[in-house]
Amino acid sequence: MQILGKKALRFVLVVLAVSALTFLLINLLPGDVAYIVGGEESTPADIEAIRKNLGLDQNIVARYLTWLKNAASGDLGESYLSREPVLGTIIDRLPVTLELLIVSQCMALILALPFGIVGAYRSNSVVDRLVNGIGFATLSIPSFVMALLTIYLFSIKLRWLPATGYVALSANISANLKSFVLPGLSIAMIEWVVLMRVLRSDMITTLGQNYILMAKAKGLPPWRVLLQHALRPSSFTLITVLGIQIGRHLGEAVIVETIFALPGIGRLLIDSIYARDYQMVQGCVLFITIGYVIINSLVDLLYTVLDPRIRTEDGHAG
Amino acid sequence: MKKMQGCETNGTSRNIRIVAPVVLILALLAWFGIGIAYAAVSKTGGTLTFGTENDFAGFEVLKSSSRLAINGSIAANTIMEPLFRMDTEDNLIPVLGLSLEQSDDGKTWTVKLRKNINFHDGTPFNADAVVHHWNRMLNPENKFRGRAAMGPIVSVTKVDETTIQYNLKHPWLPFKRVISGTRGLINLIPSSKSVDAGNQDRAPMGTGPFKLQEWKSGDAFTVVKNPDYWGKGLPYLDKIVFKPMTDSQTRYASLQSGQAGIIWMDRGNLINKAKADSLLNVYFSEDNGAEIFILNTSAPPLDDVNVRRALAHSHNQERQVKMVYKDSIPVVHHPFGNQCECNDDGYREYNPDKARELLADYGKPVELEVLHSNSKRGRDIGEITQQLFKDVGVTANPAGFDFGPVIKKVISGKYQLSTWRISSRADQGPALFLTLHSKSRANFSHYNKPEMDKLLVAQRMETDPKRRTEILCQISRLINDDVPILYRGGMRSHVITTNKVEGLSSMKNGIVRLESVWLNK
Repeated sequence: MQILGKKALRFVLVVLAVSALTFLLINLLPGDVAYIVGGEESTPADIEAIRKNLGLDQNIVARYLTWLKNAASGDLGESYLSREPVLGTIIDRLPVTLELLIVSQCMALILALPFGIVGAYRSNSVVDRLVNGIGFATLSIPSFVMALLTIYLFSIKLRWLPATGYVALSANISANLKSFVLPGLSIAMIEWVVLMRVLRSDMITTLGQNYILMAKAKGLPPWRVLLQHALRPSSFTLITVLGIQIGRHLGEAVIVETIFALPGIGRLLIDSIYARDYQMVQGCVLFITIGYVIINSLVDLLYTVLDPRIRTEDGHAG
Repeated sequence: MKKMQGCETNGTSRNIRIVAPVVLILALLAWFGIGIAYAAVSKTGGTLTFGTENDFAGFEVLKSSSRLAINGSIAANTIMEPLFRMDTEDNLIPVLGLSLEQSDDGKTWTVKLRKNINFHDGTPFNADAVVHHWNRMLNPENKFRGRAAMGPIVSVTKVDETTIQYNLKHPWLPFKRVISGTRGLINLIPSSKSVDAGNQDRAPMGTGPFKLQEWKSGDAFTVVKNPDYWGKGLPYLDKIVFKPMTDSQTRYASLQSGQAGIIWMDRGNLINKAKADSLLNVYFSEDNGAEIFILNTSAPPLDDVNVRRALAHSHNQERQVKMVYKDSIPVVHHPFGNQCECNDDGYREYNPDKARELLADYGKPVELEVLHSNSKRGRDIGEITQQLFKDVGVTANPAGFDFGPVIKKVISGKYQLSTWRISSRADQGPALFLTLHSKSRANFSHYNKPEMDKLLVAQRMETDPKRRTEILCQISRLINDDVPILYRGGMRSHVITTNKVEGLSSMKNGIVRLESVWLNK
């Protein structure tokens, strides 16, 4: 309970700090939403009227405190531009970003696990070197270039997969999955290499342990040694990196969602930043912060599942 | 049929000779008939995906501004309709209005409205709906930002259930053109019920050929065929899905791969690529307006007319159009498009020697900050301008910002020279008045010339088309002489379609009419 209480307090502090910092930063950016709403044909009087109408004539501290008070009761306000509720808009966009996250991480793991294991088992072999070479080549390609390359190859030339055209999961499962293959691949092709390298490195260390030698001496087939005895203890760093990558995923999502016209939170955030839609930016950042903290807490929990020693230590500590 | 039976029963060669050609003709007619019927049938149905450059900003006229943008206007035109449209030859086409008559004193225009039409929400279209819409915009309390474009229109009154009157302060030549413009929301009549309920912004209701099915912000704006549409046989399509695709390369790729049937495009390289692709069609409209540099004439060094003239001679519009827009827009000497032909527009051609001469007369070094957008196009403009100015000895410092900060700096007068735009519109007169009249609050170049003020008032009051054209030409000459703005290119709107999309009628001011479009399956 004490640990949970500490974690909850830390969570609140992180959210407060991030929201205050975001509010400050977005307000320090030159230009404000009134000019976007008014456009090129507005007069200074129009701009003043818009600012007043949106409550932008109040000072920044008063606006932040009002926002914080409302946010505490679940009201994140309305978008200055679309006049839609911020919370509703984020909830509408959340499944897209979540699905992109899941698809891309699954793809990255599907590539990273076998190549990481094979690389460790046959380290410095031709296969290992080849995989490393390909891996570093894909790692050096920025995600937007990767996205455009996949569109060119799979969408325009081969016509296998759509370049755009998001379909909701509830509308058509097959079309939905198709619409996520290329965006997922664009992210996975960059992220799998890091996962593969981390797993390979940890597994090489694990494969040198005495209990692995014992397992081999018992005559267990290599696949059992690798998958049953070596993989689990070698996956701690992998899980940590995966947790960090999920947090970092949003950076990639901003680009990939824009290129593939996916209506996710990444695109919403970047559009809102350009439009100086403070309310929407605040809402998005709040959601992302909460998500990031939750994911990292889950990663902490996952350690205890993977390593019984941590459970025991926790038990003693508790 | 009887004749044919006779032929078969009698069996004579004479009968066969007579009947055979008849049968052949009948068969051919039947074949053509089936063909025509098939063609008519095949026009209907299908879903068209329209790749737009951004999501729409909302459809409530009082909240709208230039944010609606052209793509939003195209979507709005599928749902709502104007009283009249204008074709490319400037002929009035009746839509919800049937006729337009001007009073003898020229200050009143009477419009007869179409009868027996309902809005999508079931409420009747009538004089009340039109009056409600117009008087909301004209009511000063509502502070409608597009009010200036309505010129001298004072009020709109109901005569009877199907007749309305526009009341003007004075006779106004551009009236017909202004009330038939379909860009923006001013002329598109919404359902009063929807407006009063506060729903019009996110769930627009009109009388148009399509009605809104669903708007998922950032994802899709879907309209479906209005089965009760008054236009016989229209629309052909069952559904149009407007999909925001911010990235122009992705939008183009979507068209190539078949996910979109039509896309909006303003990137010259992709327009040229599409022109060379036999599977794609490029449609465009020549619009008025212009891409410009706006010059702050109230602050040194641009408060000196010779410096401004020197910049005009060092600025190479042809090169800008070629390098930045890949020749996808025209070179212009005034913002009036086809609205007026001027024999002498006084345009200052690229002449670096002349520029150096003028700068020598000024006698001081000239250093400027050139504001531009942060986009690749904006950066290209900044770099080319820097190079052109450097050639004549002017130091230009390009500064890229997002859209909002650029607008803020220009509106607040904290700039020297910035990229800007004279938007395309039904008539440029009211907008130019706002932009260049010394007393206007939207005169961001701070240009102050009594002669220009007189001309701007004169174009407003002039009722003779030829004389007004001459006044507009005088305005063009004065702009080119005093250089409060520099032209970077004209306005030309483009859409690209796959070769499956047929029936795209003329575009005007960038508005594509989609009710007559069908899919060639």
